[in-house]
Amino acid sequence: MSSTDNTISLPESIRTLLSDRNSNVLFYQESDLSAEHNFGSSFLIALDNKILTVTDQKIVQEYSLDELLNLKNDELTGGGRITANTRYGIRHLIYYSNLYVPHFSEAVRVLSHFLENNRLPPHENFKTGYCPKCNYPLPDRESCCPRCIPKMKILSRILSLMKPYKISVFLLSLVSAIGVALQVLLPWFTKMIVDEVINSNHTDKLFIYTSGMIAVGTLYFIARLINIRLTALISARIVCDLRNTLHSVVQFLQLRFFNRRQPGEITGRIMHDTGELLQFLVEGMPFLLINTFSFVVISILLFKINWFLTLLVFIPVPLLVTGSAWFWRNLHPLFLREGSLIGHMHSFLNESFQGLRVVKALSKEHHRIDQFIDINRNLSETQIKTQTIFGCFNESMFFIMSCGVTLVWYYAANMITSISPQMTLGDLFAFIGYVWLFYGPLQWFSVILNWMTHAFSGAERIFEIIDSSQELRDPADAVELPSINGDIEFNNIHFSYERGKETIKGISFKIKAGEIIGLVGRSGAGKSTIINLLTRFFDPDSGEILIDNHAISRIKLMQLRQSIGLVQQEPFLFNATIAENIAWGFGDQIAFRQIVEAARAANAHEFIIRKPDGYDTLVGDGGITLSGGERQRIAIARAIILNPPILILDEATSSVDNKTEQQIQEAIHLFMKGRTTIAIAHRLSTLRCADRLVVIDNGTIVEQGTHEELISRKGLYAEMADSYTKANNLQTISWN
Amino acid sequence: MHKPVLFKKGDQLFARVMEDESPVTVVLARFSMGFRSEIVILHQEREIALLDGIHELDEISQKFAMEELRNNYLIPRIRKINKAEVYLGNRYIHAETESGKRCFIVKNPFVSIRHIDPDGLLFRDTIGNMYYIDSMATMDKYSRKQLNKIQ
Ligand SMILES: Nc1ncnc2c1ncn2[C@@H]1O[C@H](COP(=O)(O)OP(=O)(O)OP(=O)(O)O)[C@@H](O)[C@H]1O
Ligand SMILES: [Mg+2]
Repeated sequence: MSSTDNTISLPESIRTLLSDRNSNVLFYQESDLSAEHNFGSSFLIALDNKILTVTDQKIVQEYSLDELLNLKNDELTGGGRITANTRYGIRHLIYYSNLYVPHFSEAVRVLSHFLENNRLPPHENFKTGYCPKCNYPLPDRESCCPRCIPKMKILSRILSLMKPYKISVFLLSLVSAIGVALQVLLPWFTKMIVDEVINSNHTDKLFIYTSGMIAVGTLYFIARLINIRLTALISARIVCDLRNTLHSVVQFLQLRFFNRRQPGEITGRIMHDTGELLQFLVEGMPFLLINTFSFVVISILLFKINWFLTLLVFIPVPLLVTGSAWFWRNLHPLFLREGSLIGHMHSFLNESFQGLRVVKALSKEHHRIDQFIDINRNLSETQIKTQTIFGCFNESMFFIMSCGVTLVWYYAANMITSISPQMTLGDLFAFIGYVWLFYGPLQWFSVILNWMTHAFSGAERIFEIIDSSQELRDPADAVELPSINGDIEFNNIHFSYERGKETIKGISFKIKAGEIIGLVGRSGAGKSTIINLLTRFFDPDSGEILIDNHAISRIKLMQLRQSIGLVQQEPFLFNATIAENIAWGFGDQIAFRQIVEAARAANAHEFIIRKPDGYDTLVGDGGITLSGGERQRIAIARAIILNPPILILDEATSSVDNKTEQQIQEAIHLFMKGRTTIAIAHRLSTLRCADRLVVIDNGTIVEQGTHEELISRKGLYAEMADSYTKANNLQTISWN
Repeated sequence: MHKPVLFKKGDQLFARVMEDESPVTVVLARFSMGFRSEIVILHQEREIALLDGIHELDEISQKFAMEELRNNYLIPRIRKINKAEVYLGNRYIHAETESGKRCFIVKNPFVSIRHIDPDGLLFRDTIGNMYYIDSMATMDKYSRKQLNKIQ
């Protein structure tokens, strides 16, 4: 919680503590750690002329503005702190856990501005990370509280998925109701046969009743068949729709979404969570509908036959309900564990196959096998427990019901044989028939209700994807430029993948159309990140990127991306032919000749035609059947095939030998004449054709210029060039 | 190799190696080995020394190193689990730690709960905070049962 305009939300005690300062509270930020890093709360407070920290109603540190030189955030494990450079040396002002990283990175920005300019800049307020309703923590700052999500809301959302199938759903409900009615008729026939045929010796009526029984049974059978068909249809269609929606939503998701999630997790949601929802829709939902209905109908019938016996029937009901709830409480953790074990096993298997080469190379097959045996045993033990408890549950419930039925037999037999019988033998038969229809579903109610929670959590996860932020593809004022020349400008760009950890720290530079720029810098400096911003895989936190003097956020995303030929650091090929990969997504729109030309420019043509299937060669999953350098060259061909005005090569030739690289460069330069090229390479010789080199270090530009200029400056580039030459000399020596 | 000597100016830790003095920080090569082993002394992200254990330092330096580690690692030890519950796949753990009570959420136990030597557990919650149990064997039965429910 922070505030500029008032101190209302600052606790009263702290306001009194500060009252003798006679100064306004301009800004404050609460932390969840005390000065000794215990959980608690402490405050960083800015007054008109001071910055101070408060823990446990005590002022811990206090500095006047001219005592503070600067402030910064330190990243720590499990949190962070603000460190101040003061006239008296370095001081740690306040500690916070990860929960408050965004708040305090904002606080440092605000207070640094305050120290420099003596006034506060506009600033952002972040949510606290706790549910305002139940005060439990939230899984992440933006999500809703899983404890407080109203179940009805999810239910109504699931139901809204059925809208397109309104008619089928109506038919289904009708057929279900008919089914219940027919089911209820059957015990009535038993009663009639016993009372009117057996007891009264009217055998002539037997035929009528048995025919009635068969007719009702047949109708019931048909109703069930229709019911099954309709449920299958509706639920499968809904899940099919859901998978389509999910897959298309994922295509347009912001890349940020994937930062903290494994791809497997999302596949899991698309397949497993929808599957679970399907099962609930197929089995659970109709069960609930039909049985709630028949439950009411049968209770009424029972009362009508004999109210006293009905009360007896109700005696075991609390036992059934609490019993099944108790069993469920024990079963649920097991189901949960089974679910996560299965998930774990999936990813283990995946890794086993993908990492097979590494395992073999290290001769660790047995190690891997042992690991799997462990997981597998764990799973089977859990399953044994689950099955056992489940079986016990079934049998116990049956036992309790039988006790209820026995009770009915005892009192009913007494009634029938008494001097003035209150019921007939037929009544008893019908009654017993109804009792089983009554008890049967009862044991499942709480199980199904809990199952519903389970399916709902799957639905929740599905809705989470559907609701997560999509790329803002085309804001209302987006334009389509008539053509793109390739002038690029970065204007004081700041960017962080995760809040509080800035990766790009204020970068500005210009590239003229047709220039060839080399980006160099140590690994992790932020080169690929700059590319990610230019292609709008991510949007900067502040600053502007311009192409031909238009902010890229205002250019139609499709035009922007199609104007940039991008060869990524780890090129990905689809499991298709080489030709299809080069012309990916453009199939028939691109002539074969064009594909060949692009392949030639990427120096790929020759190796392709030497393959038996030529351009029809299947590359396998992710291009596994090609060498690293071959894959890169196909990626280059794919990037240049549309002749884009801007070409980005991120380590595009790192896996090919020097000579081939030179050939590729020459060919590309001919092909891309007059176009803007940004090349990133660790092998500095790759950048020999660059007009200008931009040296990136730790998210900032440290120097730029031509190779010669940079060498004579004796800066970071000169240092890198020096170690590069040394390394190369070493190689030459060891070859000789 | 010359052993670095640690000292402090204000809140800033310094290391002296031979005659060179530089501001440093102390980190662990891996947390799972505990606070006393595999310590790295860094000067602006460059390694000055990697020590097998804190015992390689002189006594006063040890004190500073421990203090620095305590400051750099906000990972409280869990004493007791008061309750563990699950809502929509989120495991809520109500713990009593050395730094006070805290409730945190863990999603996938196989990813977010890791074993640490010899029989401890390291929890990473959904927002990246961490907590640890140093030994399950010495944990009380009730806490273990709670944990068992959600793993
Ligand atoms: N998706 C991501 N989420 C969080 N951090 C990231 C992500 N991608 C990169 N980083 C971090 O951002 C920093 C810059 O990464 P970047 O990929 O831009 O480096 P680079 O200069 O391209 O390095 P290299 O030469 O090794 O390719 C690194 O510290 C990296 O760990
Ligand atoms: Mg990179």
